[in-house]
Amino acid sequence: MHLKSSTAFSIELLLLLLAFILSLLSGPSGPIGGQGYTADIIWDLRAPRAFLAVLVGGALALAGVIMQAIFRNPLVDPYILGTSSGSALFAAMVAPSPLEPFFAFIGGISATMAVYAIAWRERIETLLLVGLAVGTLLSALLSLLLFVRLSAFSSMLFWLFGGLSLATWQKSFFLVVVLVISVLLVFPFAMELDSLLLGEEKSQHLGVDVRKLRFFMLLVACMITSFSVSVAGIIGFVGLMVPHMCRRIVGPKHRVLVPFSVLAGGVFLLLADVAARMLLIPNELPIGIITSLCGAPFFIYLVWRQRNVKH
Amino acid sequence: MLSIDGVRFFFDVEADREVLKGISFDARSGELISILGPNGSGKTTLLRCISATLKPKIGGVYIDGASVHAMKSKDVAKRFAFVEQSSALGYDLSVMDVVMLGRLPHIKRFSLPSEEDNRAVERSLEVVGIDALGKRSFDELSGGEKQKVLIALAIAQSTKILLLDEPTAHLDIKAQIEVMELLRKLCNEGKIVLMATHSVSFASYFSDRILLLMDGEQIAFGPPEEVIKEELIRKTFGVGLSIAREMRKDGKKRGRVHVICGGGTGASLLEKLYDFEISAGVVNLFDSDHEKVVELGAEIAEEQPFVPISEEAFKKNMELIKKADFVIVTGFPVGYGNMRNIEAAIEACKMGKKVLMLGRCEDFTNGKAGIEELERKSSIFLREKELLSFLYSM
Repeated sequence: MHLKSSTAFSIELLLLLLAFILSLLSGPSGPIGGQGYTADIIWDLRAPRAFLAVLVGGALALAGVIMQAIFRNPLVDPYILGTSSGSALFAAMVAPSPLEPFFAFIGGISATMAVYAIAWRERIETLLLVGLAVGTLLSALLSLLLFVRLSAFSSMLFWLFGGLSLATWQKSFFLVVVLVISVLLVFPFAMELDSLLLGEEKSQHLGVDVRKLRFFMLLVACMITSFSVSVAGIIGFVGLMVPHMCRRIVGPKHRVLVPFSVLAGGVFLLLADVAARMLLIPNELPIGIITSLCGAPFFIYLVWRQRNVKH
Repeated sequence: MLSIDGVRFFFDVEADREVLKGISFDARSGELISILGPNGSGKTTLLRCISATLKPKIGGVYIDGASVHAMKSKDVAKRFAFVEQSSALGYDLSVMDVVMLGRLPHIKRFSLPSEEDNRAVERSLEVVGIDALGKRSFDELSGGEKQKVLIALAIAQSTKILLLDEPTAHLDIKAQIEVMELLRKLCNEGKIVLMATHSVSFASYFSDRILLLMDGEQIAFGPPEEVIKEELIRKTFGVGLSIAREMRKDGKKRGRVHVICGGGTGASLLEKLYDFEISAGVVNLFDSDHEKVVELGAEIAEEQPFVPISEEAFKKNMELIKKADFVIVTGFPVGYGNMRNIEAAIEACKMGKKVLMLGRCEDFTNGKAGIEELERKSSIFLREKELLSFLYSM
């Protein structure tokens, strides 16, 4: 049985608030994890960072919800389909530059469309394999690029494993606009996305133009993914795990699932960021390492479970 | 009215193999039409051409004169509801949510489902008789229940026309009958139902007209009695009618039925009881019912022409009744000559036999025959189809 959405959202907002406060209070200069904090540290460093974590988490979760709906499979997300790697490669090519988000978008959409073009007629396993292969290739190219340009080790870590340490209010503002627009673009199609659950043919018979819907939604998913990559690097598996858990809690209807996942993505990434900062205090881990440490086993669990359901 | 006009179709990858070779027929309000043919005969492709999922290469499909293929997909979805043949998964959607998807063509993009949409969903759950399942998860249901939910979805779509692809496949016999009765009910409300099936039995019991299809070719179109003929069925299915009709794979009969009839009231029913062992009585010689019983090779309690039922014939009748699982009384006119047939039927009720009446018997005995008593003790069916579906559901 799923939770009533009013209950679910109340609990979720409370969690978000608690995670946010936890994030503001955590760090090597305390109060949690050390001493010597000042109001400046909290408001100028930690607050924008916490905001960005919420937004990036929400963006990646939304991209995951969309991709899982249009591919009718809970195993896909922007990381697995190569969107994130494509975005990061293209953004890193021009970095540092105000054009980063734009290039990230070009890279993300090219990678995704390439994967889709190669594998769309094939079984879903092929799509996943091609996505992972393209993603790995693009990540390798990204490493090569960063290596040749003799970038600082920290910038390499930022692109490949994500990071929120460079958070600014400006970036948050940019991403908040993108996220709100994306949610508004997806929301009117919630019922169409629901109908896809019953199969492509059923959708068509209910008057849905499935090809157009897929294309448009994929575009939105690529857009939010690439913009979030351009401000926070590659953070894997958020889009895979979060929608999956949310579906368990509020059910599969997108009218509820979309906003719930966006908020849950925020909670998740806030907590992941706290973990990244606190585990090896005073050193900071790249946040993508934390999400991958949770996400990869989760992915394997899903594959294992799907196989057991089928047989 | 729905008309299908000279529809030809082939898939572009196999352009030399025509899947539909010129199909033409029409369907009126309240009609249930079966598209009958063996697997691979083009039934599903035809349904898809009709629902505009595929575009015919030649020919067209028209609703009240308007071409379906010139309509927007949303408008098509307001005219046709399609129950696909699939083992659909709901990914944990509730039954109510699944049925609500039927309202998709009617709900405007930026609005939520209205009161009207909610009512339409409730109504269709009621019509199908699954109001109790509303909150359940679709995935947990049995095959029969799922099929009913998908039909409820199609009803919620509020279309004039319902297309169904093998709606009874993978269902047990009880669920099959329930689904077919439901479709019949929808026709009575004025919908047009088009159903693809490979079951000769179902097509002949339940449809008003049948389109017989083989290798994409229209073999016949017309009422069951014109289409379900030995030579046509043999041509289409490659086996004789009696085998094609057999609903049970093991060839066993479903039980024994004794038909009390006369005056030609039983002939049509007797013909349709081929899944049962049958007997009949008391029937006078030269009665057309008598001829039919003899033709079918069934056991009979008989009497000389124009003679009241004798004690001997009555006893024979009672013997046959004792052996039967069901007794059917067809609505024959009852006079002093044959009133012992009603007596026999009342005896059968007293023995605890299930007695079914098809229509009402006209009484020419001023109530002496006891028809009223019989009507109280038996179950009355007004239509042959209803009676048959009841029998086949037992």
